[in-house]
Amino acid sequence: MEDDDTSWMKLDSGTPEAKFPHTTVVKKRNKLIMLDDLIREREKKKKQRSNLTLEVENDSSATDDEEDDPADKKAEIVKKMLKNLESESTAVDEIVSLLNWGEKVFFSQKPLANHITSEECLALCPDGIPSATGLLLSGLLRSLVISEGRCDEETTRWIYSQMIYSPSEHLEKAACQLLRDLLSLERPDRTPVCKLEWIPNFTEITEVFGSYGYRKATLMKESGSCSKQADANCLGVTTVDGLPTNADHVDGPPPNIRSFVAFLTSFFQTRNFYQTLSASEAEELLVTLVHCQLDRRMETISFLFKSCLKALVHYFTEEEWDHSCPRIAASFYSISSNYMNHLRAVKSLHAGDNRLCSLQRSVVIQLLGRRLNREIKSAADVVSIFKPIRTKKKDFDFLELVFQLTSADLYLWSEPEFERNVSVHADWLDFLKRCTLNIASSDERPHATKARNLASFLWQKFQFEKFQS
Amino acid sequence: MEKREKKARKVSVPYDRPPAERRSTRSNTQSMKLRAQVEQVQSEKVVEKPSEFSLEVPDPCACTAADLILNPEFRSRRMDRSLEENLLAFLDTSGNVDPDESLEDKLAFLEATHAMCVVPTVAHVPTPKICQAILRFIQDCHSVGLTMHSFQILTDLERRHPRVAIREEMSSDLSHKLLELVVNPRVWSPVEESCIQMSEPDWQLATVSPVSYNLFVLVDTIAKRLRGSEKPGRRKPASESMRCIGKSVVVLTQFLMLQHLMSLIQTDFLCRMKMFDSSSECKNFTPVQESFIYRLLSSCSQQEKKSFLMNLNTIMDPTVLGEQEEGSEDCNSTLCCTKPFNNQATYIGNNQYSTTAALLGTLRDFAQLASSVLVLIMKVDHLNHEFCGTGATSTRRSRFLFDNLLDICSTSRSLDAYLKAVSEPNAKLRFVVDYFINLAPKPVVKRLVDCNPTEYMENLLSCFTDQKILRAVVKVFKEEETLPTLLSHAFQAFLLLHRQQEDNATEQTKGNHQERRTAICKAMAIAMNNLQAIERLEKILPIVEQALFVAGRISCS
Repeated sequence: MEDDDTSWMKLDSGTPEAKFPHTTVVKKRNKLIMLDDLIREREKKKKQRSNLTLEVENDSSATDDEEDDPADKKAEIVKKMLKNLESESTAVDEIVSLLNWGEKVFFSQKPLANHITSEECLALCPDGIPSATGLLLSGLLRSLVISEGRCDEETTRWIYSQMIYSPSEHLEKAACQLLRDLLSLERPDRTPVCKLEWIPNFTEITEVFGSYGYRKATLMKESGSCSKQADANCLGVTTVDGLPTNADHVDGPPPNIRSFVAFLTSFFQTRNFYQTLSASEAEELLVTLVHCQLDRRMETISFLFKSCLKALVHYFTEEEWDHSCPRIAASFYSISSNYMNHLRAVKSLHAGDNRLCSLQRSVVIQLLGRRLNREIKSAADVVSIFKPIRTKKKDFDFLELVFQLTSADLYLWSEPEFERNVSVHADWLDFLKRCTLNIASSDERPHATKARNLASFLWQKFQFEKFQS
Repeated sequence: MEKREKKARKVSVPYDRPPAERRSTRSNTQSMKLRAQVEQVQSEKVVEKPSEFSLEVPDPCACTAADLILNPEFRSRRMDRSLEENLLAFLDTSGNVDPDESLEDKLAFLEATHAMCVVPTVAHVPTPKICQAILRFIQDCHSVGLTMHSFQILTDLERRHPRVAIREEMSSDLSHKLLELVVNPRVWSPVEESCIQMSEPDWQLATVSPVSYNLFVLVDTIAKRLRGSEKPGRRKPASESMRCIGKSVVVLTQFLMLQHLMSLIQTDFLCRMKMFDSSSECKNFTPVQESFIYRLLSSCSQQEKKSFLMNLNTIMDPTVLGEQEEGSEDCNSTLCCTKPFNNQATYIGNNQYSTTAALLGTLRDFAQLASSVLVLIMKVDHLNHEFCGTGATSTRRSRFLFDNLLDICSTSRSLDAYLKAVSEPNAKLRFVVDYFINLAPKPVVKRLVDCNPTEYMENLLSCFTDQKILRAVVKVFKEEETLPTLLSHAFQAFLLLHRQQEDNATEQTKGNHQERRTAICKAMAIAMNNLQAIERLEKILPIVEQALFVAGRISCS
């Protein structure tokens, strides 16, 4: 028996099994340690119960912790609790951010003072003559150029630069008012009272947005929404380790943007005299203006943007508009990756105007089509989205339903064909009613009650309107 | 015990759900209310009575705001009581304590109102309760987002449903256009409410909000804030950041409310003025007397009028604006505070942004609005004076407001600020002439009173070429910049008026116009030089220098 054992040991000395006796020893030792552990664990559980804290991992270091000061242990527990709370709050923040609109559109602005045209080069100001600034502020410049019937290129450029870049609010507003007056004043035969010998072209307009720190949506997507590198690129300065060298850079836009937008509104209304934009350039500007509104800092001047958008959509001729409207709608999807921002952009087009309404409808069907990866062309297509929806599934995405309902409402409410198409109207009402009835008010799935309330309100709204009309 | 646990489980809400979803009872009530209303409509088969303003037009959306104001052929209908209740059900706050939820409800209410009252081809006229609710959102100053949204809806509603409009129709023989003033009494207006309040004796005792929609009270509050004597408002934020945000939102909302009131008053007045101007043979002053601004002014005492003018003067005080330009940044110049103070702050600005320069509601914005109000008031005063002068009405009034304005414009800076606000060249020239008539010595008054209004400028300048008269004038106007300022503005007004006349002139008469302009420019240069010489100033005044340059350049061209 002994021989057998020794021969077996010799035979398998090179194999792992040959270490068996050694492992057995270790196992035995482990067993002994585990008994100690059991006792300690028992004690630990007792303490855990008394403290009502989070679980403490049962690792080898636990034994050392036990020997530590109880105050340190408490501190660690509190730390862990805080960590858990933080992770929970970030999860909630993510949901809230999903439901909120807004993103950073303007980054570091360029030093604006460098752009102001010097008044020394003006024909207005030879030696010993009052400054052009004084003439502008006193109102005499207005009388002078109107009386002359023309405003030369240098003077117009100077007034424009004051409006766009001047840090003085007084100068900025006086320049803006003067330019707007010169653009809008007309003779009885509809010709301008004062001819501007220079008007900004597309490149010059986009340069202003650039100097205010505006970054195109597509670029933002590529480079990350607010990377320091992007900021530096915008500034046009060399970078060290991705940080801009200009230490005192300022986030744009400057307050002059209010005057710039107001000027653009007047400018777009004068296509008959100053046609400097092609249809494709106007399309690009429209998307830029909509994108700018996604920056929450622009909220206080949203009505200026609205007027500007209204003027811009009427800049197109009928033929141009028929061609451009779908193109503009197609480019809306690229302005943001957040659907709430898309909805906000769509809502910003509401200004009680036929063209804006048609653009809004085009954008909605584009957004819905891209989101659902299917072609949508009419009210019937929009309503057909909701036919296969079954809200009783456990993992049903109600947030998506809320988005779709809101989009469909925006489209159908202003679509004249929808009212006439009785069967589609009935299908829509039927879905809304089904939605209201199938989702319980106490449904605990995320966003279920939100979707239910929305569907309920929309049902009432469309039903009410049907009977009223 | 089990029962209690079950109950607790029922009301518990998962963490991943936004707070707005933590309501079911109220939503149910609202939904049931809505459904009941619709069922009622279905059962009664209500046939909508055509509104008196329901006229056939292609599409009101195609009209611009100006078209809608000048052409009242917009389609609208009365809002059903049930619809009103449905909309107001959004604001039912019973059992709701979450401010986020309340904010969301308010935004939903605004969107629903927009959908019912602005978007449709035949839109509902909002009821007073709806309008008051929107105004209340602005007055409460909860957040920038809500305030701006409310303001936008108010503007859209004002354009879609103007209270006063002019209808143009061709006469039966198709020879000329007939104008008709259309007043839609269904459209509620805060200014109308103010007029009623003002007629009551104890209107001043009413609860005063920092953003009142009574023009007089609002202007008073703004002026007090600028003077630094503002009493604490209803909102009393606790921390410093809250105070800053609260104050800046109040400033913004005060500005928006003033702008909204001004827009309502101006639209109303312009329509009525158009009617007044159109009655060429026998001037009918009634439309002007029925205007908001006229009623507001006539319903208050002289003391109140005086304090109103003083308040306007405080707001448009150039010295205050000058201080702001020096660059002291206070709550007026920054809108957003560094960190949001609660969840509502997400509507104030994006969390990641530190401070944002105020794009609206700066002191200059307020000053501009105040000067517009003042110009409008003076126009009403002037009309009233002129109309009373013809003897067409028995209520003869003295020019109380004008006399007060002269007191306000006693310094050259305030005079300049007022004249810059007067954009209409005729009114500007008329003011300068009236200023001289009231304050200048007799020889000047005689020259101006007896002359034809088209020759005001010539007569005015003739006073400055005569050394004897000029000495007498200079003695009256003690401040050295007053006379050049007056002359400069009169010259500006003349150039603009002259341009209009030249555009309307025939080819034959254009030469005469140019000769006249050159003559005036030369007279202007002489007058300014005389003024400079008689004042014995060492340094030429900037305003004189500018006027001389412009006169020289035009006369050379």
